[in-house]
Amino acid sequence: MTMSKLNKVLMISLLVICTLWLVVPFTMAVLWSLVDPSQPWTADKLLPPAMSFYRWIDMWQNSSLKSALFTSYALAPSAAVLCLLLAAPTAFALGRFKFPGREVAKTLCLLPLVVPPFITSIFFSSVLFQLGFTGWRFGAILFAHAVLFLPYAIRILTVSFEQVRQEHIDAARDLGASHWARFRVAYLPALKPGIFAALLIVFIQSIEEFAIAFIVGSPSIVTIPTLLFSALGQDFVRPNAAVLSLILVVPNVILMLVLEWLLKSANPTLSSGKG
Amino acid sequence: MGGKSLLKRLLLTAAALTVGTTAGFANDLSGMSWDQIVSQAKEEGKVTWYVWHLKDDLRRAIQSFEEEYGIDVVIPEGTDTGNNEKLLAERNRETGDIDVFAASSDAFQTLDASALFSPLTMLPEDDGRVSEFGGLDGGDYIRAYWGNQTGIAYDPAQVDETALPQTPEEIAQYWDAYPNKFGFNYQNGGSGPSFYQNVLRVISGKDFSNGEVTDEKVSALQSGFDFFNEHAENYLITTSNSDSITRISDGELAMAPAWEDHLSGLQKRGQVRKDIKFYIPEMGMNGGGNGVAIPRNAENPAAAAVFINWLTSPETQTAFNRDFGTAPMNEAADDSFALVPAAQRKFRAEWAAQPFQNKVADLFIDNVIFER
Repeated sequence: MTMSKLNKVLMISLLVICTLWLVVPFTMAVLWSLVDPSQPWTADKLLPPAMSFYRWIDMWQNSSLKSALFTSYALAPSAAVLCLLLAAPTAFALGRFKFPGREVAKTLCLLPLVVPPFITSIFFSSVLFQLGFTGWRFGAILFAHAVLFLPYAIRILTVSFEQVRQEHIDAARDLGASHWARFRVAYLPALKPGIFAALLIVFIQSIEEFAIAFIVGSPSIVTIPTLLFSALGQDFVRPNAAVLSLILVVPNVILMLVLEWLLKSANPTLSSGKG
Repeated sequence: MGGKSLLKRLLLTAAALTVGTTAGFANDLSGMSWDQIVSQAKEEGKVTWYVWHLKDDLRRAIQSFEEEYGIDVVIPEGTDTGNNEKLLAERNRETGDIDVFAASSDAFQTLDASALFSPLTMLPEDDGRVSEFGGLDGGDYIRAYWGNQTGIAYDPAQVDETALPQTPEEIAQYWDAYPNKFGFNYQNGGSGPSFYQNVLRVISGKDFSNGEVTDEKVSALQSGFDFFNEHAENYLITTSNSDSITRISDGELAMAPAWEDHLSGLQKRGQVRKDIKFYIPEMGMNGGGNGVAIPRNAENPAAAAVFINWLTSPETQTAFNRDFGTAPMNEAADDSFALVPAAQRKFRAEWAAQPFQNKVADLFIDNVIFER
């Protein structure tokens, strides 16, 4: 078999596997979501014996799905941006200044991550309650997420700040660039991948955080994890779970495409001037 | 807010958390007559019930309370551990979000009832209400509202209903006659553990109601482990309560331990076949339950009291028995709608006391599951 033929065979098998990989679970999810409550779909039947859109209509009208989607997708990007702003000064100091104990300080910043989430959530929420943050629950969760996920943002941005090249800054200054212009031409290109990575990680952490969002937000604010834990845990109903997952796939696919586009535009080799 | 005062508040907060104060809250109903409590409840107009199971169905079930009293019931989304964490995190707030807190008897055993909850002595006299359930003594603070029962679910198309196995010996005969048609779980739910613990109790002839772990009790379990190991080829281990029932519905299994309310709920929601039946064997299988309490800092304590009074009344307990297949938690309730005839209820057993129960579970895994 020639190389080109082998390539063709391999390519076709890969396409078949990938298609099955996507098609089989999605088909199962779609079929399960259409199971009518009047008759269960048991293993001896290839297709559900009775199909309807009952679950879709019921979930959309009677669950907290709409408000949960809105809250989570408003909360996570806001928390990501706020966290980035809060992390930047510390990351700048750790990345650009040499001082005794710098490595210790870097490690200390990561320490909160080793505390079990159960402890953090109970005590941090309790502190928020005591500080009187409960008047605006959304704000309280936003603040909590921005503070709790600081270690990730600080760590990533510190590395980015370390990668900013001093000769770029000096050259910009020699050419008479203002503060803002220096930041734009010398700092920003090197920081960009770190900024996107930090935003992404905090976004993901925030959108999947359950305990604090539940303790502080409940009963008036529902986020996606609260809804998922609630629907997929104790009272797991497979057809309802299928509806929920199919609806949640939509924003995630859009996000994945945006992310792909962002990461392409933040190629570190282009910015550093080194191929 | 200045930096100093924020720091001061943070320090005070930390101090308050460390001490764990349970200051008196301004929601004391003592000294009020029941009529006064009901009228205050109507003024409050709302009660938030943190309950961790069957929330969608319970939202429908409480509509009759809302119509009767004009008090809105909010059942937030959430989970059992989430609710527990929220209860603990808010214990020092002057006014919390939880008016009525529901939990299983197991979960209540991890909480300090007298520090967290108000006494329910304001409720009208009703001897039928239950405060001792699932090995928990709720005292003045907790009342049961949801009784559940483990037993054996079976597929009548595959099992002779006139000769259902009742004792460990009869069950072993069934295993040998119909290999791999009987399955049970040892984790992810209590139905399987209820089954093997009762088999061990009957075969060992020991009293499990005393939680003490003694060498004598432990060595008596060996005959039970031998019983399971001798027949190991002929029964299956399932992964959870749900898995057991689903595999009966699919026709793979013919019998498996299950929770009565769980099976009934799955049947009502169209998840499993409606012809699956359930019985409590004569050897005894365990009952369990969920209870409710009012946190000390509830925002609507009167509405909470009126709600608990309704929830634990004979009428509501009868309705729960009809709609959810629960074992009624008021002695005056009618339990004729259950999956099992009332006469079988006498086979209800209690969970082995702790720490012996955990010891039995560990030993069962070591001596039976790992030997398979």
